[in-house]
Amino acid sequence: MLDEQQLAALSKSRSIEQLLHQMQHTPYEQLYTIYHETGDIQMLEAEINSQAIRIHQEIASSLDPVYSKLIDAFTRKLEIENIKGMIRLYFSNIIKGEDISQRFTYLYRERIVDDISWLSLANARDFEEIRKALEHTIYSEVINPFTQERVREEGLFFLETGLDHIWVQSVQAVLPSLAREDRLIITSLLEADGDLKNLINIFRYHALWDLPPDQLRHILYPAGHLQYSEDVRRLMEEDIHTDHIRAILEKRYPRLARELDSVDDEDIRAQVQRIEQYLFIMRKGEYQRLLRGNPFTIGTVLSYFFLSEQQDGVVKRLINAVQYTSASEHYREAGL
Amino acid sequence: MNVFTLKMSLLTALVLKEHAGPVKKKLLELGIVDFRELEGLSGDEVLRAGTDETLEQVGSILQQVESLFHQVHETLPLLTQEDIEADTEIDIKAAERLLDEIFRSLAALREKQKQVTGLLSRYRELHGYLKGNSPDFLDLHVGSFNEGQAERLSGRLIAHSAILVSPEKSPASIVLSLSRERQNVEPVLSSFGWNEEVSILPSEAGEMCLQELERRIGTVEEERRKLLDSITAVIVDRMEELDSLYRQGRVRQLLGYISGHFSSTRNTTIFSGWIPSDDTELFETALQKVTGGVCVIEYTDEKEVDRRKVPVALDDSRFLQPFEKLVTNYSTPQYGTVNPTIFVAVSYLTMFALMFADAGQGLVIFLLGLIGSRIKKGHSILNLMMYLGIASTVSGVLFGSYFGFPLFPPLWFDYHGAVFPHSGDVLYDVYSILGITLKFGIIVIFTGLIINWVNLIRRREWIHLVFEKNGIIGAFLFAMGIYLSYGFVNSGYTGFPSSNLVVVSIALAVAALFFRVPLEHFLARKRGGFLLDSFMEWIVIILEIFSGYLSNTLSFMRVAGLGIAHVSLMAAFGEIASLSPNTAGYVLILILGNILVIALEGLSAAIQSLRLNYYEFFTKFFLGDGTPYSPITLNTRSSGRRI
Repeated sequence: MLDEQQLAALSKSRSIEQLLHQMQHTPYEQLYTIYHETGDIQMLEAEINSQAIRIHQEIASSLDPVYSKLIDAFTRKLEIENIKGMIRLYFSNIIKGEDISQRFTYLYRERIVDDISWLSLANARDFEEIRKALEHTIYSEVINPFTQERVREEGLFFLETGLDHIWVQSVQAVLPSLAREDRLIITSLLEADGDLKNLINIFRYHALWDLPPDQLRHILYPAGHLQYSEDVRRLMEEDIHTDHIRAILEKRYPRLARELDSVDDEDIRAQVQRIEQYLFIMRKGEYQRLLRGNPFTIGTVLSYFFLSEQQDGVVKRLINAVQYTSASEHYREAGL
Repeated sequence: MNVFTLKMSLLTALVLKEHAGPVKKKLLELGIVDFRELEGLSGDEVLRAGTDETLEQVGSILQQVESLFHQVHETLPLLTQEDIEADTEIDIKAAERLLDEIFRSLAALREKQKQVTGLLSRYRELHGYLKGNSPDFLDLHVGSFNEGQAERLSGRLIAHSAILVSPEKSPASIVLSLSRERQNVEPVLSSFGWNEEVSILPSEAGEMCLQELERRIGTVEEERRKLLDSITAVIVDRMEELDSLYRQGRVRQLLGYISGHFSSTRNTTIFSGWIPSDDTELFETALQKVTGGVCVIEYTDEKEVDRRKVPVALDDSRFLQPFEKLVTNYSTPQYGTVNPTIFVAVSYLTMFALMFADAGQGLVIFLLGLIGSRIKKGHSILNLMMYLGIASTVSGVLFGSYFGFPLFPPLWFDYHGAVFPHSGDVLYDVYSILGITLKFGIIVIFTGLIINWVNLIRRREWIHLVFEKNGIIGAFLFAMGIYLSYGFVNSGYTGFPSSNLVVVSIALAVAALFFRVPLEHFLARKRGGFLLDSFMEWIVIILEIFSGYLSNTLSFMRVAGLGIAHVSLMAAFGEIASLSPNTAGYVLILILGNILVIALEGLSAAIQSLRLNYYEFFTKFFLGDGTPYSPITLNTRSSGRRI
């Protein structure tokens, strides 16, 4: 992993060449050759994604079948991102009539978890072909209710949200076969994650976008306690008010409730932002705690996934910052 | 070569401020000072020189230059004495101008390169579907369009990943496009008055498109190669300037680092650092010469400094360099302790030789190392391969093994015969081999213990010398264990030697271990609370001694295990080869078998030898809390370096 000092040094790069040169002897070493041969920074992002997939697959292949299944379930997150990318190509091309040829190059086309015909997906001329490309996969359940007309009308939001839920459900499906300690670690991570994401979604889509309760229920993340909470049900059906949120938070996340006290009641965006910050810090703290704890649990692998995902994100942002902004802005743009 | 880590001296030097510049250059030229922050300076007049304010800019410039060298696969220039002498102020603005020019030119070329890569991927996608028989993804149009507009139409089509082919012998044209782009391509065709025809068969049209795509891919790849050449040319054309900029910048940067360790008053400059004691005269002469004798040098006795803060330099001969790497890869030994490199060299080579005893295969490893080291100079792993090859060859001759065959009589005993005895009259068998490796293990462990005692004596840690697990009592119990085990084996596994003296001495040694904690409490003038501590520590140390030494010794059986596995594998390949109906097959199987054994067994033996050194040998004496000696030199390596 890159340390803070290395990241700060990278952020001072004045050219992509300098940035990539500094990444020699790091997991991102390969990027230099790719840039040298293509001159295309989007290829670099594609390579970072491919690398993440390969690492997940390698870890899965070196574990016993039960844990391999678990890692596969986590790898679905990356597979879903790729499927979403492919469906967005279809959406841009067929629904919006945009040119997508170049974008196709940046998506992953090898096997990730399921046997998916990526070429069929990328070349879909209508939604029926998308459905066909995914018909024998775990994703068909989410895809089937959609039609070209529905997608044209409401966009991809609900479809993508449905897909996002699948990896959580696949992780939950593997949980019973895991050792107790591992099961508890994953459950606690998923629950805290689910609760805070659901709060963010309720804030964002109920208060800002005025999504009706039945649709709001559909996008609730299938993890955590809040999805079944009576308070949350009421919250979705009534006009949102900060007091409602606070009442819910007080029960399970009193620290976050106190933090929200300092944010303007009327400023929903600021409140969402604060919850997101809290979610990020909480996750980071949780994974760091797992790293310090018993090394013979799944926590170590999950922490690695989390930290490398964060780092991949920073590196991608750095590449874009160095390419498109002035040197003084790199640090901020990369979110360091 | 030095048996201990090199003796170091901590110097503090005071020079006139006007001499600071030449002194810095001289220090860089000498390259022997591992600078330390000055402690205990106070008062308003003492100012830390701090880092050169342009140092960060210089660092950034150097990185950019390095990235350009990297792009054209050029190694960075090695700095010389002349570079220090030629040291001039670096013109940051001019350097940035030069780099801006180069990077601007590169950016323009990169943009073109990106477009060409995009075009190539479009052609490749079409080509892939056409050649991979995925017609579902393609649309093929045959027809004609408004005259004189071929170029424009082609340009419009390529934006939608489609190509226009106009065969010479036909008035009709062909358009190959992706079916997903149909809704974009068809309007373009209509706008050019496209009229569908059936004058060319789809199979023929497909073949023509394939040829056209292959031609275009070839052209674009050529264009891409040219662009790469242009990128290289942009850098190579300015190489002289970049070389000079690098030298200038690097000297400035190194001098800046040295400046960062200087503190000044109004008229004087003071600095401090570690140098090997053998170099004090060299240092004094050099400093006096550059300051005209106007300088003060004082040395602090290294005994006054926490030994963990004294930098550690190992003075090993060139021959031992690869083994020094094995030591420092584990950690840096503590200052003033035994330099274990020579012991590692002997034990590592012996272990490998016992595990991989084959003169023929050893020779191959030696030659691979030799050829590799000629191609890639300075790679210690290749030198190590050469030594391992020689060790393996020597043991192969001792055991009479040549590519798995007993071509010549062994000088010691027939390893193959010991593993696969052919008659009852065998001097050595598998147990003898196990016995040899156990004896070897005992020698290694005792060597480690003796090194530990020497280190403890030098550190004057008398209680540890006597009472710790790897101290004298621990070693005595280990020796008694060996004596009893031998007695047990010699009795035909029927009983231990019965001697009251042995029993009493073991009991006394075990009892003596109990007194370590009370003794420490007594010497530290602590009162009370040590009884439980003593008891707990006593139990732990007894368990450690009895289980630890046993497992440490038995661990060396892996040496025999790998040696036997090596012989067995070669015998198995010999058997498989003998089943071959012809000589060619026989030879081929043997060659493949040898390659496999050299690659897998060789690697396995090398790793196991390392493991035994690290876990069975080093754990007896090694305190890896040393700080590597890292002087600032002209061509400073990234990690600590030897002198």
